[in-house]
Amino acid sequence: MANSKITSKRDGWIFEGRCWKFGDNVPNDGGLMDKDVMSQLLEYKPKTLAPLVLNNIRPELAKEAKPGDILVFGKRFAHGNPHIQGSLGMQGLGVGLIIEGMQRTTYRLLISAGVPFIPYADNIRDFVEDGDHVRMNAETGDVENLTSGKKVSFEPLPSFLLEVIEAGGSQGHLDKRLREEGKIPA
Amino acid sequence: MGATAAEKILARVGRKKSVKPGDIVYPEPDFIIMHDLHAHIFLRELWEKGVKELWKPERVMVVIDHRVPAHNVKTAGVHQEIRDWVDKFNIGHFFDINDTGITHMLQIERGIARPGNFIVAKDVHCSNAGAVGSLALPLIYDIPAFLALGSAWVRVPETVRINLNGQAKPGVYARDVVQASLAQLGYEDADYRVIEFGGDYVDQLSLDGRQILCNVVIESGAKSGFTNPDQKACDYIKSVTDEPFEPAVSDPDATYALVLEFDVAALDPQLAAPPSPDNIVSVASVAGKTVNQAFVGSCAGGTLQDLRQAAAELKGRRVASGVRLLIAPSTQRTMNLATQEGLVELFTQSGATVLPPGCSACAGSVAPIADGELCISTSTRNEPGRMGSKVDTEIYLANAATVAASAVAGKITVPTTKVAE
Repeated sequence: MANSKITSKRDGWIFEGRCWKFGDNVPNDGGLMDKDVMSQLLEYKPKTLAPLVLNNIRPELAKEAKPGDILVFGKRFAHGNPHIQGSLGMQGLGVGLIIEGMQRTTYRLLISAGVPFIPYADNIRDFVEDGDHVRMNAETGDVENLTSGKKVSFEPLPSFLLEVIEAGGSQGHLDKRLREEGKIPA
Repeated sequence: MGATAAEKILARVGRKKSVKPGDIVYPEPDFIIMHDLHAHIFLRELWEKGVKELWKPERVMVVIDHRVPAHNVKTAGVHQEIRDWVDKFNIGHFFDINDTGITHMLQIERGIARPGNFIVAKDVHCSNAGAVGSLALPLIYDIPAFLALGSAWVRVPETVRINLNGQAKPGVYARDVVQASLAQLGYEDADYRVIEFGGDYVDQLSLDGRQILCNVVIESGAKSGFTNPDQKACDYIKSVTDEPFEPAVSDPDATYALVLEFDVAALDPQLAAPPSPDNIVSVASVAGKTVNQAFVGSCAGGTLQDLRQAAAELKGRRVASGVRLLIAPSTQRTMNLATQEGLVELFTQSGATVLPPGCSACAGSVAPIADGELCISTSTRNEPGRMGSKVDTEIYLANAATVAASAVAGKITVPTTKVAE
């Protein structure tokens, strides 16, 4: 198995690992996470949610994915009601995302959940195959397929949003702002 | 170069001379709105972080509307916790079960949403505020930042203009018009855009009807819905509040991402078939399907106008044997007005079940449907499981007249009556 040789790792904004490739129309509810599981669990901790990510679509992913791995999605990614649990679970897995298309609600949801991603990566799926060894830099938008040797680059997220993600998402970023403004102890 | 009303409002609250789509602003909202599914969680988390005072508690509105009255001990505890946080944080506008209704209607009825106001909310359907020229954006998980610090990042959205012209046929109402006109937009046309409605159909439409237009846009991926506030909107708001307001209207030379012309007169009754609200078909094309439950209510269909549309179909008739017709007026004031008009009596005499004002059956927290059932509803969404069981169930979203006519016939039926909108 090609992917067993891949050592997955994350160093800041640089993710390197196995590519998990998905198609178009992966829904938020019932796709990223099962809605019944979400409503029964009432849980917002990334580490608790991580084992539940994408269970309905690829049950092995949450068990096998390692921090540094890269999930590639097609168009209409995570459409539907903007529940945050699936995105928080991906943060818990420590993976990076490259997404071809999504609505802005999903874009904001991923930032709120502190998930590093490269947005609007046109035709990324022509460039990687499932199981490839891939490296991405969420800060520069550079993607390298180490299996094929090809390189490609996309417009990354603006730096003020990378700051939100770096702080762990909306909650972490709010903590940072509250400390900076002296509303809570440093 | 002119600006849209949404751009003018965001410039004002973002403390800028002007803004353009794509700009990032940090607006200070006129109101921050939450309901009982999240208010206690957000307020508790802030308290636990060490935030003991909100940015401006007098600008915060909290409503108990989703589970009214509490349907189990756990929910009763949530309501109790919300009351405690409202006291602790000295929240300015709290609507408890004894004075409530659906948040998105209540914000208008109580003069919180006012022409020119900017509102941020946890719930996506806050866009009803656009019926009175208030811009409401659901900023969901950034609501705690607004509560604690008064701002968070907002990307200025583009605006799409939909011109609705012509007189609607019998049985055709705002719900049909908005579903059918949005269906003409592509998936990316509505994304993160404010949908602004104009045209002679909107000019003559009641504020209730305008709420339905502004509400339903959310299911297309739009960020909000809007109508330029006219005399009707301003007069209504003046009748419910003494607070001042400054209307913002789009300039004639404003730049729109897209302008759609839609002929209302050509439209027949429509509904959204499973599995999603954008799957629009004519009522006639699915007529005859057996109905188990019918629901008139929710932020997309519980206004006084919706109740009148349902009543016109129910007058002198009875709900078919084996069908459950549930009717939930959107707010307590709507319930009172409906009672004064004799609608509530008409509903109960026709065999309908009148439920307390609130979100009610929309998300299945009361009266869930069972395996294999079909529900026709004025509510917001129709993905499998939304209103109860997801096993072999079907949910059709239609106007109140179609829902009532179908409940009487026991099968999906094209409505024939017409009441003024």
